[in-house]
Amino acid sequence: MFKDPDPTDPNMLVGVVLPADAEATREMAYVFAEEFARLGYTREQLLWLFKNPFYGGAHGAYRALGEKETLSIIDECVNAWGQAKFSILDFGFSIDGQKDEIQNPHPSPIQNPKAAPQTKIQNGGREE
Amino acid sequence: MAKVHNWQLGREMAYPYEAAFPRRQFAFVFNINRCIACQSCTMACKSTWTFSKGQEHMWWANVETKPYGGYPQFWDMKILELLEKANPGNQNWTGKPSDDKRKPYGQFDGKTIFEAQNMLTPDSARVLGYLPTDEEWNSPNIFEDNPVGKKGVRNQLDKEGAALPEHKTWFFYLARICNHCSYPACLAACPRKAIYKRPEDGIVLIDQKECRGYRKCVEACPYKKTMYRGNTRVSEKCVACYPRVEGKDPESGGQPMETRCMAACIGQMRMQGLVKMNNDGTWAEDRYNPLYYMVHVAKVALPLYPQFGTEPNGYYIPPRWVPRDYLKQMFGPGVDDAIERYSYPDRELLAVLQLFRRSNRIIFRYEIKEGPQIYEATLRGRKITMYNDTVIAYGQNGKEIFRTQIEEPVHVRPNKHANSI
Repeated sequence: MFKDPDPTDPNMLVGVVLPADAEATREMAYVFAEEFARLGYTREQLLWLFKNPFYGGAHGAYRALGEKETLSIIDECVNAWGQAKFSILDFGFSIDGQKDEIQNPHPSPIQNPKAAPQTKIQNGGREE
Repeated sequence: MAKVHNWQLGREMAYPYEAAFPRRQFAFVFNINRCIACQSCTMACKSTWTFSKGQEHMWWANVETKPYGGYPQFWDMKILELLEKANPGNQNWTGKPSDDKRKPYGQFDGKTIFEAQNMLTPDSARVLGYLPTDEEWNSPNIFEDNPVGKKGVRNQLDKEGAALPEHKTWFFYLARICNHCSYPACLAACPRKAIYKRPEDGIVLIDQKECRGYRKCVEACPYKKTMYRGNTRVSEKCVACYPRVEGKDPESGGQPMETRCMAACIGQMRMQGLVKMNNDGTWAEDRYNPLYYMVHVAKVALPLYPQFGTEPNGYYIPPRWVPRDYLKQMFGPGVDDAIERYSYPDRELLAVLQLFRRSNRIIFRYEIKEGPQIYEATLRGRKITMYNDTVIAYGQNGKEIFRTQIEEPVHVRPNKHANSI
């Protein structure tokens, strides 16, 4: 069933602009770039995240700021957080009663072959 | 009504039953800064628990776009409005955040849903609430990020959707599940006493045999996380994936595992655990439990709408870019300090953040082995220093679950699996 928004309904905030300055958008872009740089995303992967319309928040910021400023934010965040890659040594679950070590079960989080060269799982997520 | 102490409000409050607390409490921390609304959690829950006939409208786990989205629509605005109507101008906090564990956020001087109930509803009502309409339930995320059809055209998306007007505003994604509250409103409201809180882990469940579908719980829960199922005529709610939490899932190896929605999170913004409780309902000192650390030591994670009075056990690291007034309404007075600490995390917080989603098993303790400094960098004028610290997570049985560090350790494949790739 489709019902048009009722503009007189005080709860119906759709269509009502809530004040936001440009700084809020920039701050949001910084946060996404910082968080995913910490998760190990590369410059190319981060740009792909911002360019992908599926991710409304990041993509909205990308469109509002433009590619040049988005890339500048990405570069700053990758420089601060992305210089190191985390590796995980997971002790997994018991197999045949023997503790089995599985190294880095979390592959690179973005599976977009165009975005960045694929890294080897055995290499702790680091590029060669 | 009995008097109970609500540490999130920093005071005694009225509640229909005497206080009773579990040995451990199911609790979780969601880092909103990382959520990109991929809805993986939503679908993980849906495909596990609510895929049957009669459950079409049920989303025990959901992600909504704030401030204008909600499931059911306007749930938080409506209960905030009711509270304001019952106690106009007095829904305020006093004092300041402190290290006192019985009032870490100061004191809430307004009325909770248990205290305001006799102002607007009949004397028989135990909790202030409302029953959402079917329309509010049946369209989660409607009007949020997705374009709708042209005005007057039904059942057809706009072919030039990208050209639809777009509002330049702040927003963020709020992931929600049942908070398995310490003072559950659903439990308080149930005339059949069909809702109970488990003594071993504090998970709140509805006894399906006892429930008669009066929907008092749906009306009372301020977070609207109990839902009525029309074809069975009983109510249902998030069960906290209790077989996994109990370690009975075949994959768990007998050890407690995090819920499906946690395990599915690709943004790695969710962590769930079982925290130790004191007899007075406060969290027992457990310095190296990651949830205890984030809530009571670093204080970066805050409860969702603590002023409702149910003492929710879901905690959120607030989004950094959102206007503070809005965040303070949603998470209480601890917002400024939480955002400052989170924006420029110290060495321990950085290490604890590395524990998110490295394993599906519940972390009961962590340990940090300090390593050498790796590099220094500058971000927005502030110095960032990275260390190669090793963070080790331990499970319920005291055994190591995993460890994470910056430099890759050398791994020697055991002979047994030498050629197993």
